Amino acid sequence: MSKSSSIKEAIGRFEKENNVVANEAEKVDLTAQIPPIEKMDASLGVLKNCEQLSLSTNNIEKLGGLNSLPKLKVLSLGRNQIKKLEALDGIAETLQELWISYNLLEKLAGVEKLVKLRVLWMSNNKVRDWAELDRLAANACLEELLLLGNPFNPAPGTPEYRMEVLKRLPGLKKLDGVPVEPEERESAKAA
Amino acid sequence: DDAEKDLAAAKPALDAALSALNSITPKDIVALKALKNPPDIVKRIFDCVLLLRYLPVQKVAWQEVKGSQVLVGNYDEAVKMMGDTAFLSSLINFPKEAITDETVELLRPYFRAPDFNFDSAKKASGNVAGLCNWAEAMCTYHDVAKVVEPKIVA
Repeated sequence: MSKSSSIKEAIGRFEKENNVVANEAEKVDLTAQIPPIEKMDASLGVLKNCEQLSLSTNNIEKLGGLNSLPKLKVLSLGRNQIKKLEALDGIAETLQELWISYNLLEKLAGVEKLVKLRVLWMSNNKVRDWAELDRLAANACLEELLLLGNPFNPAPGTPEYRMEVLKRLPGLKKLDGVPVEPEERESAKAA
Repeated sequence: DDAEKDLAAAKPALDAALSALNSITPKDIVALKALKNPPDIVKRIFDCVLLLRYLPVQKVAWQEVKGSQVLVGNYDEAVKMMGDTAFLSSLINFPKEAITDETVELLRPYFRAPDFNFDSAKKASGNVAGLCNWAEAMCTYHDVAKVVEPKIVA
C-alpha cells in the first residue's frame, strides 16, 4: 500500500461510493482517506460545481490546487498539518466558511483576502498573538469565530479573553459557540 | 408544527444519551484510569469526547484492528481529561447547542468503524461504553437541531 492517497484517487473513491460524477457534485467529501491525503493539487480543478469541499482528517501540509473552483463556499480542512493560509486567490471572492480546526496555524496572514468570509472555525491551532486577530478586522462579513484550544493569554474560555477578542472584532455574532450579547459588545468597546 | 415534530423525533436519541451517561459512575472512571493500556475501542471513544470538547487529538494515523482500519486514539489526553473530578458532570451539562458541522465531520470517521457501537464497546470496557452512545447522540442532536431551529425562529 502506498503511504498517501492522491487527490485523484480520493475523488475516484468519492465518485464510486456515491455514484456521482465529480464535476457535477455540489458537495464533495474527501475526508479521512486511508492512507491520508498529504498533498492538495490541481486535480481539484474538476470540481466545477462544488460548493462544499471536505478534506478533513488527512495529513495535508500545504494549501494548493484551489484555482479552479468557481463556486466554492465552504472549505473544510480540519485535522490536517497546515501551517499557513496561502494560495487562496482562486477562492477569495466566493469562500464564506473556512473550517480549519486541529491544524498548525501560528499566523493568519492571507485570511484578509477572503472578502466574503462569514464563518471561521479554527480551534486547536497555534495562534497566540493578539495581533493575528487584528487581521480579521479586514473580513467585514465575519460573524462567527471559534478559537478554543489556541494558546492565547488570557486563555480562551475566560471573560478577559472574550473582551480582548470583541475589542478587535466588534461585528462578531458568535464567539466559541456562544452568541455575543449587545451588552458584552458595549463593554468591550468601552474597555 | 413541523419543527416540533422533528424535535420530538430527536428526543429519544437525547434521552438515550443521558441514560448512557447516567450508567457511568465515578468508580468506572477510576477503574479505567488504572488501566495502562485500555482496549483500543476505549481510546477511540475518548477521542470523540476530546473532539466534542475541543481538546487535543493527535496527528491522523490509522491502524488495523480486527481487520478494519481505525484511527489511533490520543489516550494521554483522555487520561488528563478523566483526572478532572467534574468530568462526568461536564458531559451531563454539555453545551450541545455549540456543536459545529465541523466537529460532526471530524467524528464521522470514528463512527464508521464496524466495532464502534455500544455492544462491542461494552464487551471491551464495561460501563464507559455509554460514552459511545453519548457521542453519537450529540451528533444526531446537532444534525436535527440544524434543520429544526430555523423553522422555530421563523
